[in-house]
Amino acid sequence: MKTKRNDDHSGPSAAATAGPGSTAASKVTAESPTGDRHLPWHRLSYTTQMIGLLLILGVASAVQTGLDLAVRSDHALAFRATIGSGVVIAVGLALQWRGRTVYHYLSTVQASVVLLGTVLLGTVMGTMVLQGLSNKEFSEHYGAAAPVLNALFLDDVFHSLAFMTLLFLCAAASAVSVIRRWHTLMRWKNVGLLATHVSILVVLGGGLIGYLSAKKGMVHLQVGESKEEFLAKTPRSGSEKAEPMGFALRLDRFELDKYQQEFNVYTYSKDENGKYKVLASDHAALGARVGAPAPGTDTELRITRILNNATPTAQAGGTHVLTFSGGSKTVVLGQNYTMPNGLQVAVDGYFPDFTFDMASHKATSRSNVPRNPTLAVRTALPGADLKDAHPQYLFAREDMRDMMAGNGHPDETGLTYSLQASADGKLASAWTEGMVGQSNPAIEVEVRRAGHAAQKLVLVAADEEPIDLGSGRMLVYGEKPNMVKNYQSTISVMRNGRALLTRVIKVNDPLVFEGISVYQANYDPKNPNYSGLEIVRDPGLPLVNAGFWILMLGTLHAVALRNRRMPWKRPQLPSSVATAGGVGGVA
Amino acid sequence: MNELFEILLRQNAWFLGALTLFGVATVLYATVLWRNHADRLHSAASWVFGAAALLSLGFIASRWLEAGRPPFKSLYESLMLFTACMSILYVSVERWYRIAWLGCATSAMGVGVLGYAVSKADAEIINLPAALQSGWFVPHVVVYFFGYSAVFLAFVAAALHLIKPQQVVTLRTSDGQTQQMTFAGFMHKTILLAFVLLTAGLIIGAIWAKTAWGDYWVWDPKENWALISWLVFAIYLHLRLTKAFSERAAAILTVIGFATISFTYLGMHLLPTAEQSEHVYQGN
Repeated sequence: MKTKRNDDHSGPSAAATAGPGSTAASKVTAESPTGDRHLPWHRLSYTTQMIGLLLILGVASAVQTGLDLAVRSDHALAFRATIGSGVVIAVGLALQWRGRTVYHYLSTVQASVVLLGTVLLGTVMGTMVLQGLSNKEFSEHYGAAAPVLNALFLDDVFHSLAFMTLLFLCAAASAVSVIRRWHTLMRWKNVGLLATHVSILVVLGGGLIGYLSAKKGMVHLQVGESKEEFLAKTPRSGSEKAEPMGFALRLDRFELDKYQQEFNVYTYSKDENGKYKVLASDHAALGARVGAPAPGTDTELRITRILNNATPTAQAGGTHVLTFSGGSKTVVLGQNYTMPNGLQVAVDGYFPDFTFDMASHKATSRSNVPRNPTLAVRTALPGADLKDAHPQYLFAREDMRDMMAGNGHPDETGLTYSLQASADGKLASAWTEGMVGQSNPAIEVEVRRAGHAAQKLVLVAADEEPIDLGSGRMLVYGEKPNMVKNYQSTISVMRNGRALLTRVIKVNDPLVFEGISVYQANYDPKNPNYSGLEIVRDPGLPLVNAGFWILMLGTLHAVALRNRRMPWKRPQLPSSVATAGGVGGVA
Repeated sequence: MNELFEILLRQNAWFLGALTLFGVATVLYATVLWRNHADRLHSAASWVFGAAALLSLGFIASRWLEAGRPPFKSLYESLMLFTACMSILYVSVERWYRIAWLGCATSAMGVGVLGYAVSKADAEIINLPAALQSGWFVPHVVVYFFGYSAVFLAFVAAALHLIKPQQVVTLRTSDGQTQQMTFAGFMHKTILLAFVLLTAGLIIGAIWAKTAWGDYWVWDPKENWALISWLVFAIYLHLRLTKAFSERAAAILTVIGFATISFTYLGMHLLPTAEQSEHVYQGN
């Protein structure tokens, strides 16, 4: 706000200041030769006031630095907060005693605006700078800026003494405003306003109690195990300290509830930045058309087989067939051939699941499963020597050939390689349904492209191997993500070896016992007997909860009862004002 | 662009119907503005808008049945919820305030939000994670989205006030009387509603966080920005007690409040602290 002069009390609060506060103030004024014992702050612009406040918070930060150096214990933060609040209260009271100036200022509307604005700024900063990292992580991330951010306590804004001082001042301002306007606020129509301001005190008070004395940490349990202590975590340092609960917790049972497993055919697109986006998800059904190839590309995909436990039938062997213009020839590894057109071919190697290792610059096979059958050959024209020829790779998969051609490596041998595993000669038939009870979901997709022979490909979900549909689109068969539905533990509260209570807890449904809350926090996908429970003991909680409800009801009351009157109601509207332009029109 | 059109065609009838009707309503309200005092046309626009509101509700109902859970998980679903809340709120507001500008802006917003939803459309219905399976989920989200909607209406009124500060709005009261106020007056009423809803959303969120995570407040970036937006309107309410706070200043602050809310809703993934948040929408 660029407001240069801010009027002090007006509106409802103006009436309110006619309470004890203003009589006292006028007394002071009468006695004072200068005529004004208030701090002159309220005459300054909001910006200046805010800068003043930030300077005070700077002092708080300096105090924090001093205390950081002086006190190095787990209680340093709590200690600091207590000292800091004490200093602020003492300074405030001293100023009040001398001339009631800070006290008056805090009760003004502009003080509240300045305080709320500064909390807002601090909160923004807390979302702009990464919070709560260890010193090492923080300096790695921010480099040269790290010491500056550290010095300003921006690495942990919300737990800094400056921010706490700010919240304390907010609470103080709420309190002072309420005290100074007590008689007005006690009227029924103003009770909502009273409640909202009191609620701020209650919530922040509860928060402070929690901050100073709450304990939070984990209990890691295996089924059948019981523990009496939890690992309380110290904020910021992250160190853990065993803390007694006052009872023992025994894990009787742990259950992980999953959504029904679902495998779908996903089409995704990839942009220049490598960011991919799922465009379509199709349920795999026999005979169904699946996928979303780019419009204009005449690729058509149809599911021709669904395998629950896809098992390869052709292992490293199989029959290798080379097709050339005018015929085809079955070849064997390690042999040299001369084709009818004179082309010499040396068949050097076979890679059932070809990949090129960039590190060693060598072709290898990822597995014995013929996912990407590839033949390594050398070719030479009639009269040339095969020994001088470079190795070349012939891919059985058409999409691999297209990809290589697209990358500037067209196949110039004139040979087409195929792996024949059975009589029908189709690669896909290298897969069969394996043992019942085991699972390796796969689908066989028939790919039809204009100008190409129909091709059958097997997509195994576990492989996550996509089919390139062209125009930057890929097709993959995979499990639907986010499968864990919920997880729950049956726990017993034990004392002296006897179970006092047995209950099931799950996420969103904790157990509360003797002021200690037990939350289902995590699980271990690899260990079905483990359960991670979070323990929270927060004596400030009832106050915070009460504060929330007071705030809610107070706001409702304040809005419903106090604002029946028209805001900015103009007693007389200028008659020249038209109600045209789509406004009005009420009969 | 081609891809977007492809996804648009894959949307269901509720979605496409709502999108079309919001478009028609925008044109009708614009015609009302163009031809002053076109009362019957205004009524037609209201009916079309109402139908669009029903279709967006229908979308949510059908999605709820299909998913077997409240459809408020993904950004796409939340955009549909926003559209529904905004149109329900506007339909109720129009009972008292017939402001064609507001109708025009709201229906155009409907088109815009649904258009944006197309670019964020889910390929499939996402499973609900454990933390969201709570009785607090629906009230938290719905209250917030009505709050966002109220802030949007306040923003439109603020913008109108900045453009036409002298323009008056007629309010029909229950006893058949009419009262007149400026756009800023209408804006203030919607801000009061928004403030109650934002407060309720914040508190419900805190209470829920307590039962789900063991902490009512964890300084999560989304929580922080929700607090920041709340503070903007808290500052507004305090400033209104000072004489120096003009209608124009109020309108400007409301525009800032709307910007803050928009960032809270859609901008979280842009924050450096986004990775530390539990609230960032997937697919953003």
